[in-house]
Amino acid sequence: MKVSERIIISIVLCLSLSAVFSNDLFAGTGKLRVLTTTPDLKYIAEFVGGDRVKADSLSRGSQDPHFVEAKPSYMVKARKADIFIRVGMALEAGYESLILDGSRNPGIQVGRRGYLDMSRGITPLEVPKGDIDRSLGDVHPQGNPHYWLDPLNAVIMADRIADRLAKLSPEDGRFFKSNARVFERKILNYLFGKELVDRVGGKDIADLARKDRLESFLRERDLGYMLGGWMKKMAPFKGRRIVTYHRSWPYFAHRFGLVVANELEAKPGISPGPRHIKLLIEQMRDEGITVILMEPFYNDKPALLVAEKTGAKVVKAANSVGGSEEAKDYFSLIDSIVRELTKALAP
Amino acid sequence: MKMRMLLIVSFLALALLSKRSLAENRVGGLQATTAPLSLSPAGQARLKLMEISFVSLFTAGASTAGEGDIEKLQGGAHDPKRRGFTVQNLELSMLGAVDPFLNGEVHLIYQIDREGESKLEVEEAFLTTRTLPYGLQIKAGTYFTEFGRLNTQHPHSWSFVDQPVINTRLLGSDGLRGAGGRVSWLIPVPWYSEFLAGVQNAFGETAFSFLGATAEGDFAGYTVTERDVKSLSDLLYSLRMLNSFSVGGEVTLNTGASALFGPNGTGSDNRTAIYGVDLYLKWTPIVNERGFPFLALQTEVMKRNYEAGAAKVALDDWGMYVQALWGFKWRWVAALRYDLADGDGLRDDYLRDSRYRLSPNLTWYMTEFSKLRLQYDYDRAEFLDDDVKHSVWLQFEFLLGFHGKHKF
Repeated sequence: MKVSERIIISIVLCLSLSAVFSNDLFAGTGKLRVLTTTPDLKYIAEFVGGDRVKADSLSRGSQDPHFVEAKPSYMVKARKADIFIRVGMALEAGYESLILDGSRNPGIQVGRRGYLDMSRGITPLEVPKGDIDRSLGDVHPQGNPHYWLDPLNAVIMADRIADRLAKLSPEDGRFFKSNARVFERKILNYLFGKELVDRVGGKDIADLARKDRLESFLRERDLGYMLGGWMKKMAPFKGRRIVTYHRSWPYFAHRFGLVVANELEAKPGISPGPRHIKLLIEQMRDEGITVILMEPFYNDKPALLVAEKTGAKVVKAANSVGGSEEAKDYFSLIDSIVRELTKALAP
Repeated sequence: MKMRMLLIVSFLALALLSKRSLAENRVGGLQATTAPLSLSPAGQARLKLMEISFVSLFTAGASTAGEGDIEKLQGGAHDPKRRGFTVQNLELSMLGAVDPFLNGEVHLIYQIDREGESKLEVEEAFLTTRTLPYGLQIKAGTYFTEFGRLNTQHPHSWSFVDQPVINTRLLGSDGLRGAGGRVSWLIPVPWYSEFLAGVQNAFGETAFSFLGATAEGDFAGYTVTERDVKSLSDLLYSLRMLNSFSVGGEVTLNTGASALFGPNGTGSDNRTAIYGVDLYLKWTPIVNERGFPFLALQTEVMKRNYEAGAAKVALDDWGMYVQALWGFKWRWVAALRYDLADGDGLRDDYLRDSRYRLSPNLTWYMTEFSKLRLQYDYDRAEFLDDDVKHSVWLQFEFLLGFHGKHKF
């Protein structure tokens, strides 16, 4: 072996050894470092964690959360994280393991305390039954992952984040849990109006809404006039049928009583073909569907074509915090969707 | 001798480390969350033992080069090699968690050669550690040497139907791979910085520039003799440094430098060294439709110093490729590659002559699991008396099972 080779290889081995003793470089800042896959999770984690956490999100709100690249810079973020929070239900299937493996951070691996799958605890919609395969497109076997668009699910998410942060930092546990209560109250007030929430009680009203019994409850007690918030704004459009681009709106539609009649994508993740477009136009005419709801990051050509043929309106709404100028936080995100939709649905 | 001491000390240190992390993990495991590992929302656990995938890659093509010349021009083991159809690569991959401490990955290759014989090759089978502290990771088994960008990539993730000429010449038609182990360290700096150091066997056809040889048993006319490992200097050492920088969320720049040191078989203590630098730049706008549009530039430059024969004649070869990918529309990518390779060899040595190639192509990804690619090669080589050859290849691919995630 040449002298120069020996020198180079020796230097490298010394470097590797020094790695062993460089533990101090990993020392933390005192705050819990939270890494989430989406900005919605980040926002909720920040709300719950307050000044005790430093949160960061891999994707941005203007970005399609299915298609995030496993950039090396994300592995660096994951390396420093105390907790990794994901949406789950295969939304992150394309990149998560690369980032977790690449991070070399044992504490945030699947099953560890620093790994939190938010989809646990959520009642999933559109869980496929029987045999599924890829001829059906990108079907998520555990159900549709866009559950954060139901504000009542956001309450569950905040609770679970608070629980887990409390396990990581027990001395701040009460702080996290009380923040989660504040978040819940704020969501409920936005959703049902403060007056009604005060009258019925936060826990009861959320339970009733989750069991789809709120409407009958309000009717029986003649409390309908007290309903406010987003529910009141959406109430006139209950039962209205809409078309969406991707299957990303069932949780939102379910909460606000809309019916997603069809999608522009013939199958999830498969671009709309001419035959499907033709059938869709016929269906929209037959059923009197006047609104196409889609995220800004999808190609709007097929939607505009269908809109032109049917006279429908195309609503481009962000589905994530930061996805539009208005959607600065979770509340303004839902607010902007409600505003755009009510505008388009109104005669 | 010092060398040996250093090696022993470092492996001992790593062994200690891994033991410690085992202990830490056990404690961690007990305290871990109460949620079972892979509980689905419906409450049923799914046991994920391993992910399995099967990739099939075929090419149909035509060329102005005759059959014998195509073999020489398309030197990669997975390159399209003839007029008509080529079965480029049938690859069975399996990967998963071995236990809480190790991941395992296996790639088996089936090929049908010119004579119609089916062959099975073990391309890779290796473990990587999951839980070493301090940003360390060990890989062990038989695997592609982490030299440059393309050498570790499987044909499924290539952006062209064939591999760059310089990769074939310096790292071999199958790519440089062998049994061994390597340590990687993710250096704790604010950007991505990874250091890799490995040691592998230097023999066999997958270590072409080292103790390997051509099918005729020679290297540039010098007879290659097999030899046993008598000392540490009979092994192949690899080093790599990779730095990645993120610029404004839309641009990522990877810069790499790699080096290989090992023996070669044309003399009793002859050495080969290969050096390379690589660059990868990718732009994707934040607001994109499923990863499109994007622009990706990639280049690798590499150089080999080979001491040949008893007189240790210095044989120098170098080459590079530069490629640009333009994902102009969801599922559509246009690409252009320029290949250059040169050596101080004889004009008629097709592995060391002066050569360049220009390859534009267009790829349509029907989904992530199937694609069609049309490529044209404009090829000029000294060994063909500076004649230009034209080739057109139509590649098609399908993937069954788990989609292996693409490294950035």
